[in-house]
Amino acid sequence: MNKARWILGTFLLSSVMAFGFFGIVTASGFSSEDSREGNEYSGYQKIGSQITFKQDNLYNEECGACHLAYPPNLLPVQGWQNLMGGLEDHFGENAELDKETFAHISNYLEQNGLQRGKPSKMSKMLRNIPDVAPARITELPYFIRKHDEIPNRMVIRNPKVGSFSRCDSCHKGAAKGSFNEDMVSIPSFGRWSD
Amino acid sequence: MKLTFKKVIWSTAIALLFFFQTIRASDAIDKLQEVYQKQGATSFSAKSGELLWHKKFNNRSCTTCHSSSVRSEGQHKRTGKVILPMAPSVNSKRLTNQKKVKKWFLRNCKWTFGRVCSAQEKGDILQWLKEQ
Repeated sequence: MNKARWILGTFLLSSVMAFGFFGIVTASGFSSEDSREGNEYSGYQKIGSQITFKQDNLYNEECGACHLAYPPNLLPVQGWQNLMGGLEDHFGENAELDKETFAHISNYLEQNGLQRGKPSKMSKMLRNIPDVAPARITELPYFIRKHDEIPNRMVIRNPKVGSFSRCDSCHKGAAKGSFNEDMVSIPSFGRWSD
Repeated sequence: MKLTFKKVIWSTAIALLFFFQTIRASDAIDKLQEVYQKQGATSFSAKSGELLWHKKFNNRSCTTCHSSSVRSEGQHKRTGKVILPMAPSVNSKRLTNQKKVKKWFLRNCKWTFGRVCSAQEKGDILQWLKEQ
Protein backbone atom coordinates (compact mmCIF):
# COMPACT_ATOMS: atom_id res chain seq x y z
CA MET A 1 0.00 0.00 0.00
CA ASN A 2 2.72 2.39 1.06
CA LYS A 3 4.79 1.45 -1.93
CA ALA A 4 1.92 2.22 -4.26
CA ARG A 5 1.55 5.59 -2.58
CA TRP A 6 5.19 6.35 -3.11
CA ILE A 7 4.99 5.45 -6.78
CA LEU A 8 1.88 7.56 -7.25
CA GLY A 9 3.44 10.45 -5.32
CA THR A 10 6.64 10.35 -7.31
CA PHE A 11 4.73 10.18 -10.56
CA LEU A 12 2.56 13.16 -9.68
CA LEU A 13 5.48 15.21 -8.41
CA SER A 14 7.57 14.60 -11.49
CA SER A 15 4.68 15.32 -13.85
CA VAL A 16 4.03 18.62 -12.12
CA MET A 17 7.72 19.52 -12.31
CA ALA A 18 7.85 18.62 -15.96
CA PHE A 19 4.76 20.66 -16.80
CA GLY A 20 6.02 23.57 -14.77
CA PHE A 21 9.33 23.55 -16.55
CA PHE A 22 7.68 23.26 -19.92
CA GLY A 23 5.58 26.28 -19.00
CA ILE A 24 8.61 28.32 -18.04
CA VAL A 25 10.44 27.46 -21.24
CA THR A 26 7.55 28.37 -23.51
CA ALA A 27 6.53 31.43 -21.52
CA SER A 28 9.99 33.01 -21.47
CA GLY A 29 10.46 32.26 -25.16
CA PHE A 30 7.34 34.12 -26.12
CA SER A 31 7.75 37.06 -23.79
CA SER A 32 11.23 37.88 -25.04
CA GLU A 33 9.99 37.98 -28.61
CA ASP A 34 7.02 40.13 -27.70
CA SER A 35 9.06 42.72 -25.84
CA ARG A 36 11.49 42.87 -28.70
CA GLU A 37 8.72 43.80 -31.10
CA GLY A 38 7.12 46.12 -28.63
CA ASN A 39 10.26 48.14 -28.09
CA GLU A 40 10.81 48.66 -31.75
CA TYR A 41 7.64 50.64 -32.23
CA SER A 42 6.79 51.82 -28.74
CA GLY A 43 7.93 55.38 -29.44
CA TYR A 44 5.41 55.71 -32.20
CA GLN A 45 2.38 54.04 -30.73
CA LYS A 46 0.67 57.30 -29.83
CA ILE A 47 0.74 58.75 -33.31
CA GLY A 48 0.68 55.63 -35.40
CA SER A 49 -1.35 53.18 -33.41
CA GLN A 50 -4.27 53.23 -35.78
CA ILE A 51 -4.13 49.96 -37.65
CA THR A 52 -5.52 50.42 -41.13
CA PHE A 53 -6.14 46.78 -41.99
CA LYS A 54 -7.14 43.44 -40.54
CA GLN A 55 -4.15 41.53 -39.14
CA ASP A 56 -3.64 37.82 -39.73
CA ASN A 57 -1.25 35.77 -37.60
CA LEU A 58 -0.39 33.22 -40.25
CA TYR A 59 0.29 35.93 -42.83
CA ASN A 60 2.46 37.84 -40.39
CA GLU A 61 4.40 34.74 -39.46
CA GLU A 62 4.91 33.33 -42.95
CA CYS A 63 5.58 36.51 -44.91
CA GLY A 64 7.10 38.36 -41.99
CA ALA A 65 9.76 35.66 -41.64
CA CYS A 66 11.78 37.28 -44.42
CA HIS A 67 10.50 40.82 -44.74
CA LEU A 68 7.96 43.28 -43.42
CA ALA A 69 4.56 41.61 -43.62
CA TYR A 70 3.33 44.26 -46.04
CA PRO A 71 -0.11 45.54 -45.10
CA PRO A 72 -2.46 43.92 -47.65
CA ASN A 73 -4.10 47.26 -48.40
CA LEU A 74 -0.99 48.47 -50.21
CA LEU A 75 -1.59 46.43 -53.35
CA PRO A 76 -4.59 45.73 -55.58
CA VAL A 77 -6.06 42.24 -55.22
CA GLN A 78 -4.97 41.49 -58.77
CA GLY A 79 -1.39 42.36 -57.86
CA TRP A 80 -1.50 39.99 -54.90
CA GLN A 81 -2.89 37.27 -57.15
CA ASN A 82 -0.04 37.74 -59.61
CA LEU A 83 2.43 37.57 -56.75
CA MET A 84 0.92 34.47 -55.19
CA GLY A 85 1.00 32.77 -58.58
CA GLY A 86 4.79 32.84 -58.60
CA LEU A 87 6.02 32.10 -55.11
CA GLU A 88 8.66 29.69 -56.39
CA ASP A 89 10.39 32.67 -57.93
CA HIS A 90 9.42 35.40 -55.53
CA PHE A 91 11.53 38.30 -56.82
CA GLY A 92 14.43 35.88 -57.10
CA GLU A 93 13.79 34.00 -53.86
CA ASN A 94 12.01 30.73 -53.25
CA ALA A 95 8.97 31.36 -51.06
CA GLU A 96 6.97 28.17 -51.60
CA LEU A 97 4.13 27.49 -49.18
CA ASP A 98 2.28 24.30 -48.40
CA LYS A 99 -1.22 23.98 -49.86
CA GLU A 100 -3.15 24.95 -46.73
CA THR A 101 -1.00 27.96 -45.89
CA PHE A 102 -1.17 29.06 -49.51
CA ALA A 103 -4.96 28.91 -49.54
CA HIS A 104 -5.24 30.78 -46.24
CA ILE A 105 -2.89 33.57 -47.26
CA SER A 106 -4.40 33.91 -50.75
CA ASN A 107 -7.81 34.28 -49.20
CA TYR A 108 -6.58 36.86 -46.69
CA LEU A 109 -5.00 38.95 -49.44
CA GLU A 110 -8.08 38.72 -51.64
CA GLN A 111 -10.30 39.84 -48.77
CA ASN A 112 -8.04 42.67 -47.66
CA GLY A 113 -6.28 43.83 -50.79
CA LEU A 114 -7.37 46.95 -52.64
CA GLN A 115 -10.31 46.81 -54.97
CA ARG A 116 -12.08 49.46 -56.98
CA GLY A 117 -15.36 50.40 -55.35
CA LYS A 118 -14.31 48.96 -52.00
CA PRO A 119 -13.54 51.76 -49.55
CA SER A 120 -10.11 51.62 -47.92
CA LYS A 121 -7.83 54.12 -46.23
CA MET A 122 -5.28 53.26 -48.91
CA SER A 123 -7.57 53.53 -51.96
CA LYS A 124 -5.30 56.24 -53.34
CA MET A 125 -2.82 53.47 -54.13
CA LEU A 126 -5.19 52.44 -56.94
CA ARG A 127 -4.68 55.70 -58.82
CA ASN A 128 -3.53 55.30 -62.41
CA ILE A 129 -2.70 51.61 -62.11
CA PRO A 130 -2.17 49.91 -65.47
CA ASP A 131 -4.48 47.17 -66.76
CA VAL A 132 -2.21 44.48 -65.44
CA ALA A 133 -1.62 45.45 -61.83
CA PRO A 134 2.04 45.21 -60.76
CA ALA A 135 2.97 42.62 -58.14
CA ARG A 136 5.28 45.14 -56.50
CA ILE A 137 4.06 47.94 -54.27
CA THR A 138 7.06 50.02 -55.36
CA GLU A 139 5.84 49.89 -58.97
CA LEU A 140 2.45 51.46 -58.30
CA PRO A 141 2.21 54.92 -59.92
CA TYR A 142 1.02 56.44 -56.65
CA PHE A 143 3.99 55.01 -54.79
CA ILE A 144 6.43 56.27 -57.41
CA ARG A 145 4.97 59.76 -57.34
CA LYS A 146 5.10 59.90 -53.56
CA HIS A 147 8.77 58.92 -53.44
CA ASP A 148 10.18 60.62 -56.53
CA GLU A 149 11.79 63.48 -54.65
CA ILE A 150 13.86 61.26 -52.43
CA PRO A 151 17.47 61.18 -53.59
CA ASN A 152 19.24 57.84 -54.12
CA ARG A 153 21.75 58.54 -51.40
CA MET A 154 18.99 58.43 -48.82
CA VAL A 155 17.53 55.09 -49.79
CA ILE A 156 19.11 53.00 -52.55
CA ARG A 157 22.70 53.97 -51.77
CA ASN A 158 22.04 54.29 -48.04
CA PRO A 159 23.59 51.14 -46.51
CA LYS A 160 21.05 51.22 -43.71
CA VAL A 161 18.14 51.11 -46.14
CA GLY A 162 19.21 49.80 -49.57
CA SER A 163 15.81 49.51 -51.20
CA PHE A 164 12.40 51.17 -51.35
CA SER A 165 10.96 47.75 -50.51
CA ARG A 166 12.09 48.12 -46.92
CA CYS A 167 9.23 50.40 -45.90
CA ASP A 168 9.89 49.99 -42.19
CA SER A 169 13.43 51.36 -42.43
CA CYS A 170 11.96 54.86 -42.67
CA HIS A 171 8.22 54.50 -42.01
CA LYS A 172 8.27 53.50 -38.37
CA GLY A 173 4.56 52.72 -38.36
CA ALA A 174 4.71 50.54 -41.50
CA ALA A 175 3.87 47.27 -39.75
CA LYS A 176 0.66 48.87 -38.56
CA GLY A 177 -0.14 50.24 -41.98
CA SER A 178 0.66 53.80 -41.00
CA PHE A 179 2.64 55.78 -43.56
CA ASN A 180 2.08 59.28 -42.25
CA GLU A 181 4.84 61.60 -43.45
CA ASP A 182 5.29 63.00 -39.94
CA MET A 183 6.53 59.61 -38.82
CA VAL A 184 9.21 59.24 -41.47
CA SER A 185 12.75 58.98 -40.17
CA ILE A 186 15.41 58.07 -42.73
CA PRO A 187 18.38 56.25 -41.13
CA SER A 188 21.45 58.55 -41.02
CA PHE A 189 19.33 61.44 -42.37
CA GLY A 190 16.47 61.81 -39.92
CA ARG A 191 13.11 63.37 -40.61
CA TRP A 192 11.90 64.04 -44.10
CA SER A 193 9.53 66.72 -45.25
CA ASP A 194 8.92 68.00 -48.72
CA MET B 1 6.01 5.33 7.23
CA LYS B 2 9.45 6.89 7.58
CA LEU B 3 11.02 8.98 4.91
CA THR B 4 14.21 7.03 4.33
CA PHE B 5 17.21 8.33 2.47
CA LYS B 6 16.85 5.60 -0.13
CA LYS B 7 13.30 6.55 -0.95
CA VAL B 8 14.16 10.22 -1.32
CA ILE B 9 16.96 9.41 -3.73
CA TRP B 10 14.72 7.05 -5.69
CA SER B 11 11.89 9.54 -6.13
CA THR B 12 14.26 12.39 -6.99
CA ALA B 13 15.85 10.24 -9.69
CA ILE B 14 12.50 9.51 -11.28
CA ALA B 15 11.48 13.15 -11.03
CA LEU B 16 14.69 14.18 -12.80
CA LEU B 17 14.09 11.62 -15.52
CA PHE B 18 10.70 13.15 -16.32
CA PHE B 19 12.20 16.60 -16.07
CA PHE B 20 14.87 15.95 -18.68
CA GLN B 21 12.45 14.17 -20.99
CA THR B 22 10.51 17.39 -21.47
CA ILE B 23 13.48 19.64 -22.12
CA ARG B 24 14.87 17.58 -24.98
CA ALA B 25 14.55 20.06 -27.81
CA SER B 26 15.47 17.47 -30.38
CA ASP B 27 12.31 15.37 -30.30
CA ALA B 28 11.17 16.87 -33.58
CA ILE B 29 14.60 16.20 -35.04
CA ASP B 30 14.61 12.56 -33.97
CA LYS B 31 11.31 12.05 -35.74
CA LEU B 32 12.47 13.81 -38.88
CA GLN B 33 15.66 11.78 -38.94
CA GLU B 34 13.59 8.59 -38.70
CA VAL B 35 11.62 9.76 -41.73
CA TYR B 36 14.84 10.50 -43.62
CA GLN B 37 16.12 7.01 -42.82
CA LYS B 38 12.95 5.51 -44.23
CA GLN B 39 13.67 7.54 -47.36
CA GLY B 40 17.00 5.77 -47.73
CA ALA B 41 19.46 7.68 -45.57
CA THR B 42 21.99 5.70 -43.53
CA SER B 43 23.43 6.85 -40.21
CA PHE B 44 23.88 10.60 -39.84
CA SER B 45 27.19 12.37 -39.52
CA ALA B 46 27.55 15.71 -37.77
CA LYS B 47 30.85 16.23 -39.56
CA SER B 48 29.24 15.90 -43.01
CA GLY B 49 26.47 18.20 -41.86
CA GLU B 50 28.95 20.84 -40.79
CA LEU B 51 30.82 20.60 -44.10
CA LEU B 52 27.62 20.96 -46.09
CA TRP B 53 26.52 23.96 -43.97
CA HIS B 54 29.74 25.76 -44.91
CA LYS B 55 29.99 24.50 -48.49
CA LYS B 56 30.04 27.23 -51.10
CA PHE B 57 27.96 26.76 -54.20
CA ASN B 58 27.86 29.53 -56.80
CA ASN B 59 29.08 31.91 -54.12
CA ARG B 60 26.19 30.98 -51.86
CA SER B 61 26.19 28.93 -48.69
CA CYS B 62 24.05 28.55 -45.59
CA THR B 63 26.35 31.05 -43.94
CA THR B 64 25.44 33.75 -46.48
CA CYS B 65 22.34 34.52 -44.44
CA HIS B 66 22.92 32.60 -41.20
CA SER B 67 26.34 34.27 -40.61
CA SER B 68 29.58 32.41 -40.02
CA SER B 69 28.49 31.21 -36.58
CA VAL B 70 25.23 29.38 -35.91
CA ARG B 71 25.31 30.90 -32.43
CA SER B 72 25.09 34.42 -33.83
CA GLU B 73 22.31 36.30 -35.53
CA GLY B 74 22.23 36.27 -39.29
CA GLN B 75 20.74 38.61 -41.85
CA HIS B 76 18.57 37.91 -44.88
CA LYS B 77 20.77 38.66 -47.87
CA ARG B 78 18.14 40.55 -49.79
CA THR B 79 15.77 42.05 -47.25
CA GLY B 80 18.24 42.63 -44.43
CA LYS B 81 15.86 41.09 -41.91
CA VAL B 82 17.57 39.74 -38.80
CA ILE B 83 17.58 35.93 -38.57
CA LEU B 84 17.82 34.63 -35.02
CA PRO B 85 20.62 32.16 -34.21
CA MET B 86 20.18 28.56 -35.43
CA ALA B 87 21.96 26.86 -32.52
CA PRO B 88 19.48 25.37 -30.01
CA SER B 89 21.98 26.18 -27.24
CA VAL B 90 21.34 29.89 -27.69
CA ASN B 91 17.86 29.77 -29.23
CA SER B 92 15.77 27.06 -27.59
CA LYS B 93 12.90 27.44 -30.07
CA ARG B 94 15.05 26.23 -32.96
CA LEU B 95 14.48 22.74 -34.36
CA THR B 96 11.34 22.18 -32.28
CA ASN B 97 8.80 22.42 -35.11
CA GLN B 98 8.97 19.76 -37.81
CA LYS B 99 6.82 21.71 -40.23
CA LYS B 100 9.14 24.71 -40.08
CA VAL B 101 12.24 22.59 -40.53
CA LYS B 102 10.75 20.98 -43.63
CA LYS B 103 9.65 24.30 -45.09
CA TRP B 104 13.01 25.95 -44.70
CA PHE B 105 14.96 22.97 -45.99
CA LEU B 106 12.84 23.06 -49.14
CA ARG B 107 13.25 26.78 -49.73
CA ASN B 108 16.81 27.20 -48.61
CA CYS B 109 18.30 24.15 -50.31
CA LYS B 110 16.85 25.45 -53.57
CA TRP B 111 18.22 28.94 -52.95
CA THR B 112 21.64 27.83 -51.78
CA PHE B 113 22.36 24.76 -53.90
CA GLY B 114 19.84 25.26 -56.68
CA ARG B 115 18.21 21.89 -55.93
CA VAL B 116 16.41 20.05 -53.14
CA CYS B 117 18.59 18.37 -50.51
CA SER B 118 18.68 14.60 -50.15
CA ALA B 119 17.37 12.85 -47.04
CA GLN B 120 20.97 12.08 -46.08
CA GLU B 121 22.05 15.73 -46.39
CA LYS B 122 19.13 17.02 -44.34
CA GLY B 123 19.70 14.43 -41.62
CA ASP B 124 23.42 15.25 -41.50
CA ILE B 125 22.77 18.97 -41.13
CA LEU B 126 20.27 18.34 -38.32
CA GLN B 127 22.73 15.98 -36.64
CA TRP B 128 25.32 18.75 -36.54
CA LEU B 129 22.94 21.58 -35.81
CA LYS B 130 21.26 19.95 -32.83
CA GLU B 131 24.61 19.67 -31.08
CA GLN B 132 25.33 23.37 -31.48
